[in-house]
Amino acid sequence: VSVVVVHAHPCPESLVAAALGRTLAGLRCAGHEPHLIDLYASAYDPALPIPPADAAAVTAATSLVFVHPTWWTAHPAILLAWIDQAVDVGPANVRRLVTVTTLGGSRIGNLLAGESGRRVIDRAVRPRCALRPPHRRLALYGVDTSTAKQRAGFLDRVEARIGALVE
Amino acid sequence: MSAQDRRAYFSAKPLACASVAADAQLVRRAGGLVFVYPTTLSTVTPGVKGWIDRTLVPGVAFNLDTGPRRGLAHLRHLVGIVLHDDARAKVRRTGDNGRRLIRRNVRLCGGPRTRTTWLAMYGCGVAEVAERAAFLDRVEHGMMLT
Repeated sequence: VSVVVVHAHPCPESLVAAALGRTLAGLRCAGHEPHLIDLYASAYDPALPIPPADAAAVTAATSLVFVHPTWWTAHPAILLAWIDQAVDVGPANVRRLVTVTTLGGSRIGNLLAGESGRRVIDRAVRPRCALRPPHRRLALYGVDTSTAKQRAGFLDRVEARIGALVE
Repeated sequence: MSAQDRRAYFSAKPLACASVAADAQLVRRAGGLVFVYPTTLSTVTPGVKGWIDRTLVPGVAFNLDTGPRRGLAHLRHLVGIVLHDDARAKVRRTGDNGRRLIRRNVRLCGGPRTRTTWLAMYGCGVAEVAERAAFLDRVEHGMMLT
């Protein structure tokens, strides 16, 4: 049992960074020892191969958790680059794909705009994982106009539910 | 998008980096916006995605304060010149998320006069020389029309 958490927000003061903290807390509470890959904090460079420790973690991982903001309905570029390298490394044992994300627009607005990021995981990444794992999401829509209560509720939901979504 | 870019995003001056500001100025004056990329993971390359995230910010592509003002309404042409390793049937089955991102999401910022042109080559991994040449001709011809 091995959970790899990939984080892609540049600002430590962001809501997504807070969601990362609660993700890790929820996973530890459920008895996991997550391997964290923080792309901005570790100054990930897509021109170089994935560091050996991270590559080994991806190969051994039974769950991959992506914690990221959704910009233009899709992943940040740095995360796209990392995922592209990671599927080449071979997520051979992944049984769960989980996304923890915030989206600026409303649910209906994102639907109209195509939700391309969600589909990248469902249709391009999932088939590249040997076991065709299901993709589960914990998402806060309309974060640009959200209230403090909604944001707190999202963070609580992430911490409470993340443990049950991984394997 | 760097921390500096992101912190500036919702401020009065969202273009924190000089080279990105220069690109945004080009977009404001442009008659057409053309994306040229090889499809990666069913979507645009990270380079294109990063450019969209950093350049098409509030005040350039859209405006958060004054409602759904379409920042790219001045564009007459929105063009994609796109390569796919997979065959057309497989792309159709698995979904073309780069096309979705540009033809839906970026297009939403355009206006009634913004026309979209999509020039795609499928099965690039196994294409013969003649097929490649034909695609290049099609691109040149298509760009003359636009």
